[in-house]
Amino acid sequence: MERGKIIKGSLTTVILQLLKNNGKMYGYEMTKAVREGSQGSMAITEAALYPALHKLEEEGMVVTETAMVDGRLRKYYKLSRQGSKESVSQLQMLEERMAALKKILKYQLKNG
Amino acid sequence: MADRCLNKEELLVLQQYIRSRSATFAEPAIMLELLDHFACKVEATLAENGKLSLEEAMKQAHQSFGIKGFASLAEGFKILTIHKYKKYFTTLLHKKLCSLHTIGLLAVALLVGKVQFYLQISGMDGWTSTLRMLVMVVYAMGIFPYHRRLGRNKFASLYYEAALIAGAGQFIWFVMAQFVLIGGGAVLPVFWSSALLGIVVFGSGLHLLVYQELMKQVACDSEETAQTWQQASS
Repeated sequence: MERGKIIKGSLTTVILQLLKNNGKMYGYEMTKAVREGSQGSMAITEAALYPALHKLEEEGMVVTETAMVDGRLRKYYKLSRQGSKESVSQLQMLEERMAALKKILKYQLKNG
Repeated sequence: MADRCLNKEELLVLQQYIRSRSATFAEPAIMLELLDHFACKVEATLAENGKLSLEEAMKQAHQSFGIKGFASLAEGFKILTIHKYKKYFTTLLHKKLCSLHTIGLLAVALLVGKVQFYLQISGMDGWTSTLRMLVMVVYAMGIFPYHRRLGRNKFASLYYEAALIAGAGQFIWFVMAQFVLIGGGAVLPVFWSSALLGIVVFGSGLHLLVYQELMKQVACDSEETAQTWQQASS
């Protein structure tokens, strides 16, 4: 199993949460935030990040704005109102799943 | 680890590198999408190892994009654009169907159907074929100017291609309808042949109206990209 990659299914929650905590972010900043936030134990690849961001943009969860930074155009992503609501429910769902996973990992058959 | 900011000449080298990977990445809209992320990675690589040359840093940064390289970002952008236009196409179609355009189109379809009916019962078969051809020519004339104007514009080509894919289903429907019209016109009874022509006139008229609106959006998007490109290049 690839240790470094974020578990599929939680990527959207991670993106929404990052945007909720940091306001607006650009793509590279997100990959850096995941790497630094997990102290190098996890990473998001561009191949996973951008399709997820595009999907969120299409669903109206995030909106984009562009700005000239260091002589090049930078695309910033930020949460829409719908995305803010979604980030709360997604985080709650992820926490529930993590709690369930912890229980499964500790589970022992009574008569096993 | 000291921050390293790429200058204008180095950014041009990066653009050249991206372009050399695939012609698709040379599309201005995709280049604008790729450049900043790639530049950030190159800067980080150079900051980590100051001894690296720009070429080496570009290679390392490119490798870190994974096996597909820039393709995943470019594909993602293309898919997003296609989905955006598909959504817009459907919205426009509903809007046009609920507008006064529908009444106008119905009137034209009814008129064309009636003309065809009278021509057929009068035995003027040559004129009925001319009428069918006329419908096809009017449709082609409605589409062709956009193809000429947008298909050759370097800032519009990606958007134009995406819009064509987004509207492809409807376009195929129209072509099939034309075939049915041509084939059915000869086989069907006079009334049904005329009704069929009326339906095709209505369908193609509606498609043409939506298509033109969609192309206006394509022109608008490409204009925005051209402005951004000029802003980034100056």
